[in-house]
Parts: sequence; C-alpha cells; structure tokens
Amino acid sequence: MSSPHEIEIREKLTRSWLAAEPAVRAYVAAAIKSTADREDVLQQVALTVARRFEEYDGQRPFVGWVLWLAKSRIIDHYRSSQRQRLVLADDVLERLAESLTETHDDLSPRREALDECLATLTERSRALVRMRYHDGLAITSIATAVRSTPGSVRVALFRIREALADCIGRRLAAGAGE
Amino acid sequence: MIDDDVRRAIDAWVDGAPSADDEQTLSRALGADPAAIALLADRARLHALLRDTGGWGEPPPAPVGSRRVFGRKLAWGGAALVAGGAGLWLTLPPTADAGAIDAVQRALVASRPAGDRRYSVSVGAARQWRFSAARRSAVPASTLWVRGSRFVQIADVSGRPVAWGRDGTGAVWFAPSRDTAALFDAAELPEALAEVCDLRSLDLPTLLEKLLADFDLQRLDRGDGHDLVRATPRAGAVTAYGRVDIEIERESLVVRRAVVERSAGRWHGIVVAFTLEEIGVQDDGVYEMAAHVAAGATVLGRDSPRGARGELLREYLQAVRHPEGSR
Repeated sequence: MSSPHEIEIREKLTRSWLAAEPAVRAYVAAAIKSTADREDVLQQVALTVARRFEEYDGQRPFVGWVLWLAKSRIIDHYRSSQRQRLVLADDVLERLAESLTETHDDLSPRREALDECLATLTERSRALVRMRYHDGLAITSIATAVRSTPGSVRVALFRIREALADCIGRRLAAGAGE
Repeated sequence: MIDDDVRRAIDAWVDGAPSADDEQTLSRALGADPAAIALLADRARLHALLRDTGGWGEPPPAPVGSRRVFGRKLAWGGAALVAGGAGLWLTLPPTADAGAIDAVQRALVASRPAGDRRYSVSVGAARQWRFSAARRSAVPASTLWVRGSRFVQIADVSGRPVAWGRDGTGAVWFAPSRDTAALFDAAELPEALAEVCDLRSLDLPTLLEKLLADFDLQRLDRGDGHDLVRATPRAGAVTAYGRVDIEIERESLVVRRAVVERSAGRWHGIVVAFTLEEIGVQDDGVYEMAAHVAAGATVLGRDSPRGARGELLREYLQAVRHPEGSR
C-alpha cells in the first residue's frame, strides 16, 4: 500500500513529466538522427527522471532539469554506438537545451497556433503531413500513396514545415501584441 | 538570415533522413551560427508538436448514446495523475524498471472506472484488404458487456443468441446454443485464449500491459477530451495483431473505442472494432454461464471426454465465425 507521501510524489512526477515531455522529445529529435534511436533515448530519459525525481530541486524549472539529464543520456547514446559520431558538439547541446527551456512556457499557445495553421494548409499538404506524423508513414510509403517520388515528397514536406513554422511565428507574435 | 542549404539540412536532420552532405552542413552551421541552433530547436519543437497534435480536421467521434454513468467521477487532480501516469508509463520499457512501471500502473489501476460497459463489436476488413477474402467474411455484429476482467459477448446467429464470456472466478465458457456449453477453469486456459480474453476485457491497464511486450505505444492527443493510444508491432515481434488503436476518454479513462487489426492466420486483414455504447449496471449473473444456457443443459467441464470441449469450441467458432477466437 502506498503512503500519502508516495502518492503525492508519483502524482507530481507524472504531471511534471507530461508537461515537460514535448520539450524532451524536441531535444532528443534535435540531437539524434535516427528516429528509432530517439525513442530509445527518450525512454532512457523517462527512466532516469523516474529514478532520480527525489533529487529534483522544486525551486528550479523542471524542464531544465530534465533536459540536463537528457543531455547525459544523449552523450551516453553516442558513446555506446561507436559507429555514430557526435554531430552536435557539447556546447551546441547545451545551447539547444537553453533554447528549449526558454521557450517552453509558450507550449500551449504554440500548440493552438499549430492547429490553426494546419487548418490553413491545402488538402494535399495536410494529407502529406498527416501521413508522415499521424500515420507514421515513411517517405517512400507516402510517395507510393500519392503517386510521387520520395524526392518530391521530401521537398514538399520541407516547404510545408517551413510554412507552418512561419505561420506559427506570426500567430504567436500577433498573440503577444494583443 | 539563415542559408537555404542550412534550413534544408536542419529539416532533413529533424525528419530523421539527412544525407552525409546535410550532416556536414549542419555540423558546420551549428558551430558557427547561434541562429542555426535556435532554428534547430524551433524545428525540433515543431516536429514534436506535429507528432502529438489532434488538429487533423477529423470528424469528432460520435457521441456516446444512452449513457447512464454511475460510480465515481474522477476529480481533476486524479484525472491529471492518470493522464500523466499513462504518458509516463508508455515511455518506459517493460523490462527496464519494474518499480517505476509498477508505480504508475498502480496509479492507473486505482483509478479504474467502476461500472459495467456495453460495447458494440463489429468486424470488417482493413482498408488494404477490402477486396480480399477478409472482405467476404460475414461475422455478425455482437454486444459485449465488460466489468473488470469479466465479460460476456453475445451474437445473434440466425435469430438465436450465441454467447461466450469470462466470469468472476476467471473461468471461460462458450455456449454455442442454449443446450450445450463448455467451461474452462482459469488454471487450464490455453495462453492464447487467455490473451484473447484479456484483450476482450477492454480494460485500459490490462490492454496496455498486454501490448507493452511486443508493441511500441504512442499516445496522441485527439482533442475533445480524448486520447488515442496507438500500438504498432515492434520490428521482429511475433504477434497475432497488427496496429491497435485505443481511444480513451481522458477524464474517466474509459476505453471509448478500440480497433484491433489482425495480422495472422486466416483472419489476416480483419479489423475488429469495439465501440462504447453505454455505461450502466448489470447483475453479476450476466457474466455467468448459467444465465446463457437452459436449465439442464449439457456443460462440458474439466472431467468431460478428451477433445469434447475443443469440439464444442470449434462449433462455437463456426457459429459466430469470430476472428478473435480463431487463433
């Protein structure tokens, strides 16, 4: 039977993790090339956070602490997979974490802005993004589905993501000016 | 202003498919230009949000009909814990830290919704198999009542009810007619059949626990108070199932809809969909075999002649042509 204190700790841990997870996911995506490796590292980070949660100083931003732990896991990952060299230097990882921590508070408006921006895409563009992210299809599978070439799909997705990033930026700026 | 080549390299990197040139370009730019680091962070954040967003413009799920909710409603705090628990749990490997998983699992179990739930069960063909043998199967729609690990599924086969279920003791029974039934005690249940029963319970912690072993789980915010847990078989995993989608009401943790794709045997390409129709109260007896056979019916148990129960089970499956029971 868990004590009230243990229950409280678990509750705090799960809530904190849920809030920080998008930033961790972004950090790992920025630092590691392979999508399969990203999932492994994300799991390692979650595990480390669960094990070491009692060390967390509640006066400091949780996401900053988690990204600090994540950085170690990322470096461990590169060390253990010797064929892969570390593309991102240590100071770059540091600055990435700072950037994600600084902008973490605007996650909710960013999410809302993304949903609004997705709605402005053409049907075809939305279908491509949906296949890539919602359905998790590989570029080659998307190309087959839309009767195109992988190269064309890559270019299209690049342009769509650029457009979405611009759109989100504009909406956030407009929101900040209100 | 960041060079277009750098933007492309960052995009390819975050998308998981950079070329060797992209990697060189990226490495050079990140070392020389802080703006490139900010752009990488921005694009990685976009990538993470795209994975989680519910903003795909899908039609909202149909409302749950004739719903009579009873039992406790979870407080906001409890719901947040549960949602958080699911989120954390899904990211933990099943074998790496049993303690951490167990902690979250217990939180989930403690918040398990009370009540009997009624689901409609339909069987169809996966999109890519619409024109195959899977499409030609004619499995009748059925009704499934569940409470914890108990369930009873009743199909109408040519005007007569055909039922199977698991009672409060864990025994599993099949009644292909009102006159005959087969009963398997929990201890003698073949593993494959036990697994089918566990999935049939449509109990979220149980479903996730079963899926954790062989599937990669992903939790997606569907908006509108729903989460979607998508389970995809890991590469190399031996499983009778393809993709499994479980739609959950975030507040109550009730499984609102589950769609299970079969990937093995003659039912390859079949999709079984469970849709919540009602939350209500049922007598305990509805999960017992006795409620589904006539007084004096022949019931084959552990002491019956060897192979007799298997024969009755085949008869049952023949009657309902149920894909989940055919493994």
